[in-house]
Amino acid sequence: MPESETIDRTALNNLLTTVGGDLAFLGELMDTYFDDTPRLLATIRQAVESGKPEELRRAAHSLKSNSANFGAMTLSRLCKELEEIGKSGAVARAGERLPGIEAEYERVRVALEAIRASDL
Amino acid sequence: MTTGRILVVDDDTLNRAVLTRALVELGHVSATAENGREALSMLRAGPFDVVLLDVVMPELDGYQTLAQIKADSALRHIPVIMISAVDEMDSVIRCIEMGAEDYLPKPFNAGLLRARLNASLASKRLRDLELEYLEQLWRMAEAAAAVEANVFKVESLDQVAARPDALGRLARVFQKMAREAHAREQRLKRQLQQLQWDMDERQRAAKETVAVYLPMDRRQALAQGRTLPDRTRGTALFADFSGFTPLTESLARELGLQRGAEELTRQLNRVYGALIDEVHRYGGSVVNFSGDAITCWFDEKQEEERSGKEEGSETPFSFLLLSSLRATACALAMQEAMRQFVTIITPAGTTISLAIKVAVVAGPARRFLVGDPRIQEVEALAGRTLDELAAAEHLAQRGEVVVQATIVAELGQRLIVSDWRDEGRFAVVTGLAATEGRAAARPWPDLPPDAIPEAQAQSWLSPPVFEKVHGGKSELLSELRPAAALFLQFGGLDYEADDEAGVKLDAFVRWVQAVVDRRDGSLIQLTVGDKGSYLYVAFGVPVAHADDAARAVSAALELLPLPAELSFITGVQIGLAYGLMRAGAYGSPVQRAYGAIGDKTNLASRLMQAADSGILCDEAIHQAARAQFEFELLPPLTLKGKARPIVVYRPLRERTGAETTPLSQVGRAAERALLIDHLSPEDQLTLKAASVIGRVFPVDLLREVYPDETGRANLAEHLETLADLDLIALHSPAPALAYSFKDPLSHETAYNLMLFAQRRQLHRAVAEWHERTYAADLSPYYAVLAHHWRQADDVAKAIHYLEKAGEQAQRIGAYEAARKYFDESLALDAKGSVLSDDYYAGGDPDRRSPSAEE
Repeated sequence: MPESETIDRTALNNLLTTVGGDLAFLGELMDTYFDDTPRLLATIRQAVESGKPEELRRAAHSLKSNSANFGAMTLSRLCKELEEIGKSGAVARAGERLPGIEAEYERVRVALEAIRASDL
Repeated sequence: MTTGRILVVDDDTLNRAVLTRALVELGHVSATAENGREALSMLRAGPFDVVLLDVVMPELDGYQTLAQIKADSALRHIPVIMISAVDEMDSVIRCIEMGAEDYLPKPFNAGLLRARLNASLASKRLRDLELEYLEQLWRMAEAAAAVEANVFKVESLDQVAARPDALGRLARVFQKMAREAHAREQRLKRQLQQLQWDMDERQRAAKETVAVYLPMDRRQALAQGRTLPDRTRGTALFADFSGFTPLTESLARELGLQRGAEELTRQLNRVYGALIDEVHRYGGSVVNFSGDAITCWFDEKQEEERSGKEEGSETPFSFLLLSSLRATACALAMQEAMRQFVTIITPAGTTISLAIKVAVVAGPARRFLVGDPRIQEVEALAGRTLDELAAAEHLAQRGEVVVQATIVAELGQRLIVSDWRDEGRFAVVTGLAATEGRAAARPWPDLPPDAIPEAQAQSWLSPPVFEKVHGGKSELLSELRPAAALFLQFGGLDYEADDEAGVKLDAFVRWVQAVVDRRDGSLIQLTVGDKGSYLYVAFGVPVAHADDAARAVSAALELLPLPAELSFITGVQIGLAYGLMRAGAYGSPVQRAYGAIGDKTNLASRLMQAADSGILCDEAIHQAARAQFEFELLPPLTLKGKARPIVVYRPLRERTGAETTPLSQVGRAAERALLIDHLSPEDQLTLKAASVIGRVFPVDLLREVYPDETGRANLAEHLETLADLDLIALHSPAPALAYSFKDPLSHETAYNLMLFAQRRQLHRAVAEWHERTYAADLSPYYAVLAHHWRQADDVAKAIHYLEKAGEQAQRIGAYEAARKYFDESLALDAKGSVLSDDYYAGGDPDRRSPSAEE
């Protein structure tokens, strides 16, 4: 399973503990994440295309921290790099990274759905 | 774990959801804000204990929000925990530098969240306590300012005083000190008042002449070499006080019998002074003092004499009517003068209202001077005018002036009438029509102090009273001690028609005086009235004996039945009672009388009224005289003014072969008092002043504190006399010349014969002498100083020296003694000013100890 690389189960368990071990609530949090992330990815893409580093930085920051919450460490690291690019202002350099990030998110989503389906 | 109110500030929905849920899990209450602006307005709206603040946010980011929180004095004490990713340490450091309490890394960790929140909540609570502390400290500062401004309210510190810590103790001490300061202030005020009175008394005693014991019209007549006629016409005025009984009771309750009696005298004399001034201002005379009333006379002859000397003497008024107008105006002025006594506040804060009712009646009257001049001559007014006066007085109420209808009819519009009494027999007069010149005050002409030679005035006073007034020692007449009151009611004289009424009354009074004089009693008062006339005789004042009660019984048995030559006197009945009395000269500097008043005088008069042609006496008389006399116990009697029926006896006869029983302790004290009574005023004063110093008294100290100049010069002589009488003995020869009392009883008796004010003055002098003389080292005298200051009524100084004495005893290991001093000091402290002294504990003289050595 690619899940082991995509999702850090320790981090995910930490989140579950933080919310009191409530699996249903964790599921709701996942739904929020699945709702938010496509929006954040769209914002990132738009910011890159229209050359807006601040928007890029903020969206990348959110996605980075949200992903870290669920243990999506690879995705979180990729977002952090985008955030750095946003800070540096050289937005154009981010374009080439977007497909990789989108693909990673897709893996994360699949993995989290699988985890939810298996009741962890 | 405690619950906190936490504000979560994060723009990220997911983060807010996670944190909110996590906080619920930890048992906190939370609220959320999506940005800094929203967060600030929520913080200002409600109380929060901790803020969880994200760094990266749109609108107002974490830095700016933090900066604004820390810039707001109302918010800056709320701990802020920054939320930040682990890779953002730089921003965390910056935030902590800006005042953030801590940081929480993302992703969140439940354990870390709990630990940081608890730490922050604890620090918040500590800060809240600090703030409360500061706030209460501020209140203490405000209280201090209030004390300085004299507007401090003790309750304002109640909340602070409830704290269990040092600040609470500070507040409690502060409250206690403020209470004490207040009490001291009150005490000081009272002391000042007392001092003022003492000074007034001394001044008035200094200019007192024997003549002030005579009615003013008698003085004027004597000065002109005239006599007052037996039959005369004029207007009588009777003024009766109400409120003295509650005042007496309040003062006795608050101050104890002794000081209560003195304070009562002070109040009485203030009122008498104001009223007598009015009577004299309108040309009237106070003929009689009776209990708490005065009978005054405005003679028509006087109007006649004075009008002849004035211009425009043409008048439509009879002189009798002029005297009535004058008396009515005087009565109204007396009521006006009473306004200042409407509210009297006692030392413990009881409010008592004093008032008078005044009656005015005109007509003919008999004016008698009766009694044996070798014993005492007594003034009396009699006749139907006086009977009518008594009737008018009964119909008057507090604050009213009730005037005979015939006077009102003749004076017409000149009087303002508000009401009528007894079907138009008397009118309640509230004022005079304006500009009534004839009603103006018209004082007596001044009499020079020597206008009446003492020898001439002497017979108006009984010999023991004269002796003291003559010696300028009338304050020595003021005493508080047990005495027997004998009230004798009699009738049978027709004061209207019988020209011999005066002669008959004189014969009767002389006979009574003779009976009383043989037993060393004193006729205090003669009142002639419609409800029968009566005599008041006292045994025990101004001269005391061991067996005053028995003397009274013996006199009563001799007075009833009457001898044949006095058969014109009818309806004699007698009441006897025995108890503590306040005796002394009362009245004003210009007109005085010697009197003796106590609860038992009232009781004796009530027993007289109930005696039904016999003799009734109270339990105290029975107790004191039953060894010598046989008594019959009667059914309990309900008397006016007494809540419960009282036990009464009828004395029957002297016991045959009654042996003189050994004197009781009280009896021996009374015997001692008798011995001291017969000393000259200077010898007495010497003995009394010595008794304050102690059983042993150095002559140097006695000389220093001796309150009288002439007496001081002859001190050696007085001491010799006292030693000759075996009252004192030489203790050590010169140069450290000292005497001591021969026995404790003499010491105690001399001490107890002094009035409180005099004692206090002497104790103060003794204390001050010690402080002066041993200023270099007071330590051997701490206990002595504490005793004298305490008896001088200076509680603060007494406490000071008691504590010193206690510390001293503690240092040398005398722990029992030390404890005694500290206990005493605490007791004084706790009692504060009111009732601070065992002087006030009661009237039992045996309970008071005169010296510290005992």
